Amino acid sequence: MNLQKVMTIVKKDLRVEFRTKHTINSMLLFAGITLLVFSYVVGLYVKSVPDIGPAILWLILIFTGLIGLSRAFVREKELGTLEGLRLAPISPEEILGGKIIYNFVLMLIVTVIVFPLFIVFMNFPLAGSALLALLLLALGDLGFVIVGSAISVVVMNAKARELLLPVVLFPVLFPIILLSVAALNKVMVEGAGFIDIAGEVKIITAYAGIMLVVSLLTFEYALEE
Amino acid sequence: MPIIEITDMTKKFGRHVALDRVSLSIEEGESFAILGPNGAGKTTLVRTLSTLLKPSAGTVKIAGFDAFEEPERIKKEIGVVSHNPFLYDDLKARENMAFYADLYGVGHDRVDVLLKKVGLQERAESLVGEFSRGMKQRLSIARALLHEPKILILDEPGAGLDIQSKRMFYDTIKELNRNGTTVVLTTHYLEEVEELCQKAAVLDRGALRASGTLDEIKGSATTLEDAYIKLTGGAI
Repeated sequence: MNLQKVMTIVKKDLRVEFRTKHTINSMLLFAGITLLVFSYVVGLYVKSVPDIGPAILWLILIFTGLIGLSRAFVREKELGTLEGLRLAPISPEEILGGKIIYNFVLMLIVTVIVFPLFIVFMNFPLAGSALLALLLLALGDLGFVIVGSAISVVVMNAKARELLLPVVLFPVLFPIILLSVAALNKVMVEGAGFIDIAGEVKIITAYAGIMLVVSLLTFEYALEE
Repeated sequence: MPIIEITDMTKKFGRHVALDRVSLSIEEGESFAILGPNGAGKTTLVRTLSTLLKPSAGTVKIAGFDAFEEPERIKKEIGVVSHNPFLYDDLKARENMAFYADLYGVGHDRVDVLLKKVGLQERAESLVGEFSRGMKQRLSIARALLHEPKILILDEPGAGLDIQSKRMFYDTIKELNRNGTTVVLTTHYLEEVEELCQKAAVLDRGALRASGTLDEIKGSATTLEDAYIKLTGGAI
């Protein structure tokens, strides 16, 4: 895999995104509205915010991430530029690599903005390290975009692709969601350190790694007509 | 020696046979048209030559490389201009060119040379989304020529172009062909074929009906159109 070509795609996508701000604005707006709704509802009806806080944070991030995922390949498909990429001397793996990194950057931006807002709006009593919680969220984001980028290509040619993506994605994503919420709960609620969540981190990393390999091996066939 | 050699190529989509044992050879430096009515298999053939589709059977060799085994090598030898320009509306003309130059490993100095060649140097900093169809098509030619391909594949490139853009487009293609670039063109416009091509092949319902020089295709018919109608059937 030629990293220079991967980064060429990343730079192009980020340039387009930050010029139009279509996707990032939609993601941030959705995250903000969802956070406000949750903070209001939780404040009214939930007695113990820490019990459900990490799960809510993860759900906000994943649903927000879906907006970005569904656009990354669909935009290329709708513009017809995906064929331009396929005609260039660049491997399918490099295209996928570029899209994964691009989606990861968007997710990181959203995560870094949403996390402190979540603490403030939910009045969340953070017990552990904020930095560790952020790193854990970033790892979860990475797993999410690896699985999501590959699946968004599989459903790209379907008529109701934006509806189909979450239906296909969530079962595959389940182990990452489960482990990330468990680890996040330990850090944010119990004040656990890295050693205490090492098991979850290892499994999330291994699962993301396996999904990355599977995605790279099958991506070429998903792109074919 | 042929630069494109197609031998008994079949392409199926499920049960539908889009191309049925087509054999064709195109010599280096030729300007070659692929003709046929809608559904004849022209686009399938061109997409196979462009490495976007893999043949179901038979062999396709381009510039000495097998289209099935070595698509990456072929991509460096071909430039493709389609009715879709493969350009990003939200990038400037120069940014679009620089992006593709990076993918092809070509220096950015060539970007300005080509923008000047297609008459877009003054619009280099404009967003492509603001361009007319003709301007996009000119930029698309520049994009396809970035890596100095030996073969230029044109898939209905003149569709929707105004007269001025078409003239500039024809002149560019003729100049490239004079300088040795092999041109493969699919079109519905027979006047485009007579202006740009020395040879042609006629496809109908996935089968090759005729191939040769334009005079050979015409045969006893008075015009190319008469010969084309005779080969592909007059009724729709």
